[in-house]
Parts: sequence; structure tokens; C-alpha cells
Amino acid sequence: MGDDAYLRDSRRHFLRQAAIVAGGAAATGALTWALRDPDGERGKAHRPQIELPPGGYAVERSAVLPALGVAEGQDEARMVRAAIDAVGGIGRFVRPGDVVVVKPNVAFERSAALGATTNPQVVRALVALLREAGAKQVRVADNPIESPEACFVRSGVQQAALEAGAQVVLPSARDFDTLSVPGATWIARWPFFWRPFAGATKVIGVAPVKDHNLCRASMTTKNWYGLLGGRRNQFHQDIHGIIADLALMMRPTLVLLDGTRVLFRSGPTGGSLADVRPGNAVVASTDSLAADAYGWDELLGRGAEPLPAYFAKAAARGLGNPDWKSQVVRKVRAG
Amino acid sequence: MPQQGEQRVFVRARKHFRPRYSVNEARLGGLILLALALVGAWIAWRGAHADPSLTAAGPGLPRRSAEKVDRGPLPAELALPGWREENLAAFGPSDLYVKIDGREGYYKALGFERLHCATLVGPGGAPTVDLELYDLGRAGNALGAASGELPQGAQPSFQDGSLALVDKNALFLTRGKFYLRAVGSDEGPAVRAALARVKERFLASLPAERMPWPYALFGELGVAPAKVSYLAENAFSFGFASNVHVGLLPDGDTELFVAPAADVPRARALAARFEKGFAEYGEPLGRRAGVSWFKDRYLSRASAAGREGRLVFGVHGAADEKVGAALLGRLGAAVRALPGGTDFSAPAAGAKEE
Amino acid sequence: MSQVIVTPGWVKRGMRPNKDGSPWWARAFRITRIRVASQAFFFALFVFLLWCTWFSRLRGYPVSLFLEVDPLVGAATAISNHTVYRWLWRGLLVLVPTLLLGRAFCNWMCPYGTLHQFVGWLFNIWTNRDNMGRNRYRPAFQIKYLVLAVFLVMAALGSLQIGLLDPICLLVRTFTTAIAPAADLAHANLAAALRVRLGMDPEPLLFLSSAPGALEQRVFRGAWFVGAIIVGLVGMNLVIPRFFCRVLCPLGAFLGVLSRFALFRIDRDLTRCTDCDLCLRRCEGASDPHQALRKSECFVCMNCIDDCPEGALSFRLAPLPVKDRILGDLSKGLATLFGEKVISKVPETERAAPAVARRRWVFAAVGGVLAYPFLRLSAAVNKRGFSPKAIRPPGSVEESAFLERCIKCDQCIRVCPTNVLQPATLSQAGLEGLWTPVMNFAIGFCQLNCTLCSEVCPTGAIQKTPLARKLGVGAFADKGPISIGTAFFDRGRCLPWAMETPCVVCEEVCPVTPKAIGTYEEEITRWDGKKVVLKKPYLRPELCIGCGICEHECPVVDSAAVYVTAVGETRSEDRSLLLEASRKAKERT
Repeated sequence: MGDDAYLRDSRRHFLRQAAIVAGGAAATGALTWALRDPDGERGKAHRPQIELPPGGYAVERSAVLPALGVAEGQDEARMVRAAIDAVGGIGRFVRPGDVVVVKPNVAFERSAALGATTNPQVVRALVALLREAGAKQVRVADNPIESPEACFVRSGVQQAALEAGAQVVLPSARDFDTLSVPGATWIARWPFFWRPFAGATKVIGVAPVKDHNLCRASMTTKNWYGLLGGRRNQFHQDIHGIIADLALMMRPTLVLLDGTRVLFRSGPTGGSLADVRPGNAVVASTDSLAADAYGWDELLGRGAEPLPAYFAKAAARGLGNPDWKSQVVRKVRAG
Repeated sequence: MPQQGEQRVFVRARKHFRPRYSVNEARLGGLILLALALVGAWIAWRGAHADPSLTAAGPGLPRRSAEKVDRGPLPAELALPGWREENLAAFGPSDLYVKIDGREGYYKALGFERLHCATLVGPGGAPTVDLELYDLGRAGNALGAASGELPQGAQPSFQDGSLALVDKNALFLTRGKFYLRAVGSDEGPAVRAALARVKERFLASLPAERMPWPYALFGELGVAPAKVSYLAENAFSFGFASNVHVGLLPDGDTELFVAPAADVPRARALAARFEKGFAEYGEPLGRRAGVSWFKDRYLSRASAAGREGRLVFGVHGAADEKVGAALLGRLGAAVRALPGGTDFSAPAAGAKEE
Repeated sequence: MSQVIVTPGWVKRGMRPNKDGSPWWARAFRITRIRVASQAFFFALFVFLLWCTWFSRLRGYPVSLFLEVDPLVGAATAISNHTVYRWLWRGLLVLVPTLLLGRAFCNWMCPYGTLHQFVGWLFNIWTNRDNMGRNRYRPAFQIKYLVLAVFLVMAALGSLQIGLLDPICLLVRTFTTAIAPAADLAHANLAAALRVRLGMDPEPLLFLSSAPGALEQRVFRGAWFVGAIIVGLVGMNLVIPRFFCRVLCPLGAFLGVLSRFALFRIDRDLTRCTDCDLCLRRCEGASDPHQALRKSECFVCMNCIDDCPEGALSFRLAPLPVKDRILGDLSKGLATLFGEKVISKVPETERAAPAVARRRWVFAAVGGVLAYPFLRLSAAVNKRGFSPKAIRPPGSVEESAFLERCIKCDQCIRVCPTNVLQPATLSQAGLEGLWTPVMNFAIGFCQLNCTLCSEVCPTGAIQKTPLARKLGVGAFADKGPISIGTAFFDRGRCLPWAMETPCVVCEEVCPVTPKAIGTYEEEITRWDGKKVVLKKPYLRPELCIGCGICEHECPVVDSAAVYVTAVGETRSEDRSLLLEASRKAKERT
């Protein structure tokens, strides 16, 4: 091997080494620049924030239709249909192609007869009605207090929903993102069970009539509690304020008050048939405050007592009118 | 020798070195695979036969153990053939909360004395009917308790001094001082039959008692049992008005009242005081139906009081004197028709007050 | 036959008849292949049953099957409490075949053995000659017999510790506390990625989750320790193949002791064996098939049959020990056996009993006798020092009986839907109660209508408990509900009591009816002079069942203002709280 060849080869060797070093240094520098975070702000966690559609899921108000539809009777399917018919019929609320979220109250692992959860027959009837009206998809969702699977199974709601053709959406840890509720006192930003709401166009709440140890009565407005996650156990520090916030957060298409059974004491958990009496009614309304006030007076039978404080708080925000007696109520017998 | 072995050992392609294979061994292998398949099938079969109790939505009726109690007034042979009676228990005012949480105040305000409960269990453990028999001391309390718990708008039947209503899976019944709630676990015909049996047994065995005169009296005029009350004193904010029975008409404003006095002269004086009392708060409207009417200056409602023997009666808060006079006429007729020997003494303590 | 069908080359090669003239399927379905199929089947079954150990998947599956057929579980619990609980007779399904075939369980069924073998196979970078050395018997393999002796002696004294090392218990525990939650984490991330990045519905991936429907990622106390143990034990395969099975496994030792009586064993034909030692190449048990077979060590994996180039090894019924029948001088190569020329220089073919000297057995037994008081008297588990937070699941038997039965398999912890059941740490239950189930109400709560833990417990430490018994209804009304503890209020931390702030979440969630938590309404003059009415909670101990949902839901999350301790639990007379409860407990017994 001659000197020239040696020099040529060693030059090439040097250049290759130098290129690797320079390239490596440049790449490291560029990466460092791309990741720079001088004040530490970029490194903080940014949780995605979500918003519900402006105006919520409400349909247009009607000046002529009754504010409350009350169906009394024994047969859940007929009562649900009659109550909704009384406020304009299902066609007013759900159009073919709609994706509907149905929010029952499945907070506890209790059998339906104990009145702590929404009557599965009412859920079944509602889902069937929605399918009939052409809803593309019906999602039944709740974030219970006890373990979700067990609550949905033992309450019978899962079976009823699936058989009627709905999907059941059980919450898991990844299904909660921060919802912004402008104007809310407490839950202006709070983890929200968003998964059933992805792509949803209509929301229907269906809640039982329950005594409640703290807020005195849990009906359709308190029902939205089950859409939130996070530290819900702080809510009790101002439960009435929270329920008023819930009314602000969720402007539903429709609420159904399931008065087939009334848990009139030991609420909201119940646990004994002695705490339950038949109510024989289903109430439909676009105004959850009016529906709940009706439930308070007529189903819980506590008209002699003043309404719980959250009614006034929510009404002051223009979220409904608890004075149902001043509005048009259509009562029908069904089944 | 080792060299030879090395060559043989390090042939890459060979995974094993066996020179001979056995057909019987392979057949045995087939049998073993079959056994594994059977194990798999057994597992699948077991999986398909779940224990239903693990997910069943049983009604779940937590009960506290109770001492062996006497049946109290619970009639014998409550259960239909094939049914059995369980969980016999009794509670007094001191331990009522064990049975009823959060609402014991309701019954205590109604003169609660004793609660007897039992569960009727159908053939095979279902359905069940829960019985709660409240001894509330007085028939008025029993009626009050029942009417507070009846489903809204229910039309109970009144017969033989008893109130009764069977609604869906529940039976509400009063008889004398007793108030019975019976709630079934479902609304099936078996439960309805059991409830019918319960109703029949209670009506047959509990002592009949005439409905207290205020309920009968006001009931005739359309006052619901829940709206009958007794004001021991200070009725209508009148210091003199004690021992007054009041019935609120369904319009929610008009009240009928009856105040027994000790004798006729005192009754006359009491009637005069009522008249004076109404006059203090309102404008005179003249006389109608033999008494003077006054219009309350705050409520714009008409009131007046009359007398029959030692009973003072009246109308408070009628829409106007015309309507009031008609009501007063009917009330007077009803008062006159009260059977002789009616006990007008003041109800015992613990009476319902509203 | 159609001409169109094209058979791939590998199939053609596979279906060529063997050189000895036997059909191709005699090779394809030879016994080692069947063994691999059996191992794959049982490993898959094991994982499947664990996967099923969950509310929505349970159905009727015998999810604790592997624990039940583990004969050491049955034998040790029978020694400690003199009963064979519920399904534990199934241990005979393994025990009887062992008396027939030897330790076949270890290499045909045991999922832990399969795991070790698989890992050893995957990372085997050694030459055949190295492997032959690595698979020779070592004296350290006696240790497992000593471990077994210690555990059985302790069991006889009333402390069941086999679960620490029993392979099925160990693997179930590892899956429960370390592997299943890791799978859940992977599933959650994968599902989120699928949904966010690809906009796909991740629902079909739900089978990856071990706990579908669980709201939160499940956590387990001390999972790192359990995880480290399995990583260490599996990693040891790179140092000593099947380290755990050969050195530590008490179940293997138990089966080894039994298999000395086995009717079948591997037999070496001295007239064919050339002493090449190739049979050691893949010998799983290190049982010396090349000379005197150690029956107690042999896993019946049959690899030696596959590896013998002379066809000298076979699995035979009751082979005759032939040493005394050899005629002639072995060293000169002139010996004969029943008229045939003996080739092997090693005349012994069987060594039945474990190679443990009698004094070592005695030594181990003495170790067990000593270990019992060391563990039992360390105050972690006796009635004078048991941790107040060691709250046992509903249906558990009284504590000393519990420690006679619990095998620390953690099946109850696996099935618990709220994650409240946790493996006990050393500080909670001492070494004796390590990994036994206790409740941690910061993590979950005992759901009122749930009795799953009692359903899956294989040994009856948690007795099968119908829901009616747990709630004290129906036929059990006179017994009352099962209480696992009692709640207490820390008024110094409770919002209404200490901070003039409304709360009473505890009352709302109290599941019993009537509620065990009630409230006083009290009007107080607040710091700003305002009069406010506060509801202040109190507890009725006779109604409390200790479910802990109040503690779990208390907003004072770090150290709850209402908390449950084990006092007042129904199962224990020593720890009853109320005189009334004591009286009833005495009536019951």
C-alpha cells in the first residue's frame, strides 16, 4: 500500500468520523431546541377541554304544547308513550338519524323493586320508542356510585336497554375530560363522562322519584350528577348549588320522571320494600324543574313543605319554572 | 468416541435424535388430546351453567333480628296455603328507628304506640309481602297516617269504619286505631291474592270501631281524611278557641270547624266570642242562615259561627257569604244528625296537629 | 385424486414416511408433541380461568380449578384444619395419576412449569454440550423437600404457609396483583391511542382488559414485590434451567415424594445405551436418565426418549431394576443381561426416593416447629396485636381458622369488583399473613350485594356465603347481617363537626336500611356570626356492617374523617364491640 493510498483512506476515514460527530451534535442541538421550555409552562399537563353544544340539546320551545305531560296507570310502556305524546309526541324530540343519549339513574347496585334506580321497564319502553322514531343509535349511560357493571346488571337496566336495542356505555378511567360550563358556580370546569356524548345529537334523562337525605329529593335535575366524574364527594358541601349548576350544564332534549315507584324515605339508597310505594305515573317535560316540582308535590306528596332550595337557584338562572301549577299540564290515563 | 459424538450432536438441522417411532404411542397421544378436548368441553359446559344467584336482582329485604315476639294484634292464618310467615317483629317508640329510618317522626307525630311487622313468603321464596301494622292509639291518627301515604289521587273505599285501598302491589287499610301497610314484591296475581287474603283477615279480626265523629261529619261534606285536624288551642289564632276540630275542603281555603263546649250556656258564649273574633278582623257582611258573616280584611274570605246544643260550628274562609251560608246550612244539618251519645271529649295527647 | 391441489413443500416433507418405516404421523404425533399440546392447553386454560375471574365473565366457570386440583393445597389444608373443603377433593385428580405416572403434572399441566420451560427454551443460547452439563442433578435440588417439610409441619401446627411458594398460588397471585393490572394499563393506553389517533372504536379490544367496567385502573399493594419475585424466579432459568421447579417448588417436592411409588417410569435399556449422555440435553427435571433415574425428580417430559439416538429409553410399566441380573464383568465389556450383551457401563437404572438424608428431614421438621412460634407470636396475627386495619372479607372464618385455610392465592382479590381487597403487607399482617386479603377503603369498598370473594375462595378461608346470609335476610334473618368492622368518626377532621361545612356524603351512601349513619341537625353560630343549620353525622354501631363505603366516599381523602376498623366483626368473639352482639354470637355457637 502506497503513502498516497494510505493518506486517501485515512482522510476518508477522518471525514466519515467527523461527519458522524458533527451530524450527531447538530441533531442533538436541534432536538434540544425543539424541546426547549424556558419557563416550565410547556411541560405542564394540558388536559383536553370539552364543551357541550351551545344551547344544549334542547328542542325549540313550544308556546302551545303543555309544559308537563303526566301519564297515570300501570303499564310502563303505555305510560311512557302517553306522557311523551302529551308534550308533543316523540317526533317532536327525536328525528330519524339522531344519536340519543339516555341517562337513567343506576347509581346503586340494587334491584329495581327497591326504587333506588330507574325502573328498567321505563328504560326499555323509552329506548323502544326512540328506536321506533328512527334514532340511529341509543346510548344508555351512567357513572354509578358502586361498581358500574354490577349496578347495571343487578338493577336490570342493562338487560332492558340491550334488549330494546340500545348500547350500554359503562364508564372507564379514560372516559372523563374536563367540561367547561360557563357561568357555573362550582363546576365551571369539571371531569365529564364524555364518551356517550361523542357525536350525540339528543339527550334524554329518565330518573326515578327518590327521597334524598341531603338535597331532600333526587329527581331529573339531580340525575345529571351521574355524568360527572372526579371528586363528586365534595358536592355535598353545597348540594343545592351543585344541582343548580347541573341544570345549567345539561339542557336536555327531554326529561322523563319515572314515578312508577316512589322511594319516599331512606333515600337515596333505600334498600327495603317498606321504603317504596307505588306512584303509578310517568311525567314528561322539557323543563326538568317543572317535572321535579310536580314530583315533589304529587308523587312524593310533600307539597306542604317548601321546595328544596335548588329549585329557586336554578329558576333564578332561567333554567326552568318550578311553578308547574301555573303552566299547562296534560294528564292522561294510560293502561 | 467423543469426536464421533460431537459430530452427531452438532448437526444443526436435527432437533431430536430418535431413530424409531411408535404407532401405538401416537394413538395414545390421540387419546390424550381427546381427553384434553373433554376437559375443555366440561369447562365450557360449566361456564354455560351459571349460578343465577350471583347476578339475580333479588328484592333484598334487610331485616334486623328481633326477639321472639307475640303476634300482637296480627290475625292468625294470614298466609294463603303454601305461603309462610317470617320475620315476625315488633317495635316500640324507642326502637322504631331500627325498622324505619328517617321517617319514624311521621308515625310518632301521629301518636305511634307500637309497630308489628311480618313478611309473607310465597311458595319457593317468592314473591313476598311485607306487612306493617301500626298501632297509633286513635282512629283519627290511623286515618291520618294512611291518607298521608296513599298514592296521589287514589280513591280508597270507606266501609264499616275502615279505609281500604289495594293499589298495584300495595294494600292500605285502617281499622280503628290500627293502620296497615302491606307491600308486595311484585304486582302479580299471587301477590294480589295474598293482599286480598290479608285484607279479609284483618277486617275480620281487628275490632271494628266507628269512625271518629269528626271524620264522619266532615267526610260527609267532602273533606279528605288527611285534611281533618284537631286544634287543641289557639285555632284561627284566637286565644279563646281551644278544642276545635277542623276540616279543610278540597279548594284548599275553606275550613269547616266544630268546637264542643261543656254545656249549652258555655257554647252560647263561645259562639258569641267567635262572632266577635271574626268581627275584629273584618267587615260585617250582614246576616245569612241565621248568623252574622264577616269578611276577613286580609284574606277577603267570609267566616261565621253558629251553634247547635253544646256544639259550636262554623265556616272559616269561604269564598263569599252566599257559599258560606250554604255550607253552614249543610254543616248544621250534619251536626244535628250526629248520633246521640257521641263522645265529644278532647282526643288523647299525641293527636295529629297541623 | 385431483391434480390441481398443490401441496406445500413443508407438508410434503412432514408427510414423508420415517426412516424406520413407520407412518409420518407416528413422528408428528409422538409423545413429546402431545406433551407440548397439553402444556399449551393447560396454560391457556389457566389464563382463561383467571380472565373469567370477574363479575361479568364468571358465569359458571370453575375459576379456581387449578388451585383445587393442586393436591398440595388439599393436603396441607386437610393437615391444618382436618377438613377437605368444597372442591378440594379435586386434588385427587392429580394425586392419583401421580401414583401411576410420577410427576407428570409438572411438565404436562402446571402453568408455572410451562412458563419456566418456555422461557428457558426461548433464551437457551447454549450448545448441546453445555446443556447436557446444565441438566445434571445438583445437591441443591434437595432444598424443595426441606421447604415442603417446613411448610407441612407448620400446617400441622396451624399456620398454613404453602401459598408462599406453591406454584399455582404464586402464579395466581402474580397474575392478580402484577400482570392483570399491567394488562389493563396496556389496554387503556392502546384503546385511547386507537380512539384518538385512528378514530376507531376500541370496543373489540376490551377482551385485553382483565377488569372491564372498572372505573379506575386497579392497584394492588406490594405489586412491585410480587412482580420482582416472578421476574427473579423466571430469570433464574438462565442460571439453572427450571430453577424454581427443581430447587424450590414444594408442590414438586410433594409429588416427588409420592412418585417414588409410581408404577410407570423411564427405563434405560442397558443393552442399547452407549452412555453418550445425550438424554441430558433437554432433561427438564435433571433426573439423570443417563444413569440411575431419579424418579422423584423426573417430570415425565419424555424429552430423553426423543433424544436417545439408540432407542434405549422408554416409558414403561414397572420396569425391573436389573443391576443384580447382570452376568459377567461390566468393566471388560463382557457382561450380559438375559442373554444380551450389556453395552452401558452404568448398571443402575432407578433411584426411587428423594436424595434427602434422614437427618435433613428431621432438621427441616425442627425448622418448621421453630418457625411456627416465630411467626405466630410476632403479634401481627394473634388477637392481642392484630392490626385494626386488617379487615377480612365477609364470610371469612375466625382469624386463627383463617390462617389455617388461606393460601394467599389472592383469587378473592382478583375477583373483587371494587378493588377494596388488597394483599396484606408485612406491616399489616406480619410474615404469617403476608398477601392474605385485607380491605383498604381508600381504594374501594365492600359492595353490599356482592359475595364474589366467597364464591371463588378454594379453601373456605372465606366460606361460600349466599347473599341472603351476608345481608341477614330470609332464612338467615335471625343471624343478622355479616359485619366486617365498625365505622368511627374523627370529629376533628369531619367537615360539619370541625369546619362548619355541610357534607354528610357518608349518610347518603350508607347502604344498609335503616341507615347506620344518621345526622343531628344543629344550629350553630358560624365564625362570621351567621346562624346556620348543619347536619352532623353520627353512627349507630348496631346497624353498621363495616362495608367502608363511607370511608371511601369521604371527601377528606387522605385520612378519612369516617373510617372503619375491624372491631365489631361478626366472625370474631374477641373483637366484638357491643354486649348485644357478643350475646348473639354466643347464642349462635
